[in-house]
Amino acid sequence: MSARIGLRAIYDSGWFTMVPATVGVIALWYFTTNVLKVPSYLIPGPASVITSFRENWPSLAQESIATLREIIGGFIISVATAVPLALLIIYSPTFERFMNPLIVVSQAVPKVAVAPLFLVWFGFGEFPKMLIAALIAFFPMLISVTVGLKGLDPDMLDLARSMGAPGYRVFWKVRLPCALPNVFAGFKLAITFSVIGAVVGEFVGGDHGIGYLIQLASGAQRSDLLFAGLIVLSVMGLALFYLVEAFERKFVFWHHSQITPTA
Amino acid sequence: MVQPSERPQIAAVSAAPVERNSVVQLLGSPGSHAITVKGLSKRFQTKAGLVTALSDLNLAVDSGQFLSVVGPSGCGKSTLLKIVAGLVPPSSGTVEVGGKAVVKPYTDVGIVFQRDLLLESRTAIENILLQIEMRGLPVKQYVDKAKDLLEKVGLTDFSGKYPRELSGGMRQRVSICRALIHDPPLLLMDEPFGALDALTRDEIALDLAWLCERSRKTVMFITHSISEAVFLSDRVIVMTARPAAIVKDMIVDIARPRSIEQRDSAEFEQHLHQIRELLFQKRNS
Repeated sequence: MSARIGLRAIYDSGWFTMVPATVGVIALWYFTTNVLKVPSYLIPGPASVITSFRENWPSLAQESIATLREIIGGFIISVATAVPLALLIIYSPTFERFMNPLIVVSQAVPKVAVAPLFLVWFGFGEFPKMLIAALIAFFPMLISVTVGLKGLDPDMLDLARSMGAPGYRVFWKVRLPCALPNVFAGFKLAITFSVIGAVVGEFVGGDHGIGYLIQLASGAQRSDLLFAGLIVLSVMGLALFYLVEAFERKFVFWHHSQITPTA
Repeated sequence: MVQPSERPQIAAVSAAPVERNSVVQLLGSPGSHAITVKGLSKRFQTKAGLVTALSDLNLAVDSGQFLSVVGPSGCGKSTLLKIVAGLVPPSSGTVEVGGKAVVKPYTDVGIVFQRDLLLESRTAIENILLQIEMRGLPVKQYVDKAKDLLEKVGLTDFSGKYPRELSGGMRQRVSICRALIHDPPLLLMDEPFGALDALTRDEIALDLAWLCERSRKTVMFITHSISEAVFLSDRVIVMTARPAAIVKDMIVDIARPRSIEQRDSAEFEQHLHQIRELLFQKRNS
């Protein structure tokens, strides 16, 4: 009985599907390089990537910390600007009318193409990379948060008004809790986009970071190191995503999206 | 229908409401929560043009009266309730509650809508206490009262459950408790049982009758169920759409407390018949 519950738990936790999937990908990788003999400058074998990890781990670690700082910095900047702006949009219809065309237009501008401009303005440090990350993360988050806060049921708002609560209390106790699922959807988008933004920044003009390392490796035809960098980036992106999701589970545990069907 | 042993005792408490009401009216006491609606009209601008939801409506509800408003959908009864609550401004006319004009959201009130509007992020009891938190009242002092209310609607074991764990009927019971926790003198209900199945409706109607009979609140109850209206009310008004008007104003003088069996009585049937006939005539004319 308890053994069955144990298996069930393993199945529900996702390991049941994740482990075979990972093993499958690595097996396919091994097959491509070692059996099909795809040249190693195109796709390095798993063994050479592991060797590359072993030889370069100090610099990989150092560069990933720089990139991590840029990602988190970008995420924080985008949250710190998107959330207040969303509030302004919710509470001021005039501001919303003014902002709407700007948002649409700025969505159409390819943010990646703006990156060189930021380097011209702010130099080569980490700050312009944070800004690029923030810029790319900003719009999806602004839209999610705005939709969430705006989506409050009009009857719920009427009910809150009949309770005689001041505006700030309506916000904290009713509007924000109802918007949290959307807010977290925005955060998850933002953290993913921040990773992209930071790497784009490093590609365009960096002297450190995993993006820079990948460029160096590519120039030196060191595809093993390039793959190592890619894996570090993916793991970092995944870890950050799950971190945000862990917060989501803590704050939005009551939402139907958080409930795994059992039995 | 098995009734808890306490219920018959309530009859003694509520035996005198008619007298008390007349005294209240006579003195025009400040505690009065009578509703006075004068010359009320409401027009909405829609794409199709100007729609008249209410026109020149007059209505006086005594303090402590349980009034039901019955009518087909689209006759403006929900609009009337929102105007009385001060949530929607009238196009013309006035609304007074307890002798004071309603010009902004009226807060000395409990409201129940058709949808329960519970916050998914709060447990049942936390949802009830939202009313207290929003008013800035001391929450701790109301916890016992919230538990008490939950007990009265048979949800003692569900106080720590989240809305998604409750059935539709349980959710609406919680929302009724939320409307009652601060003991408002006025209760506004907009088709509160509209989304529930017939059996649950009857059960909650009994709960509500029981809760209201003790407290003598002024209640405005909107429904499209004629039998529910007659069962719960002291007075039933029937509205029609186009023209939006009150076509029937009827006092229900069936003795309280009312039991579910009374719904089969000749007296009850006669009240139902009067309303049905009227609505039926209107539709055919």
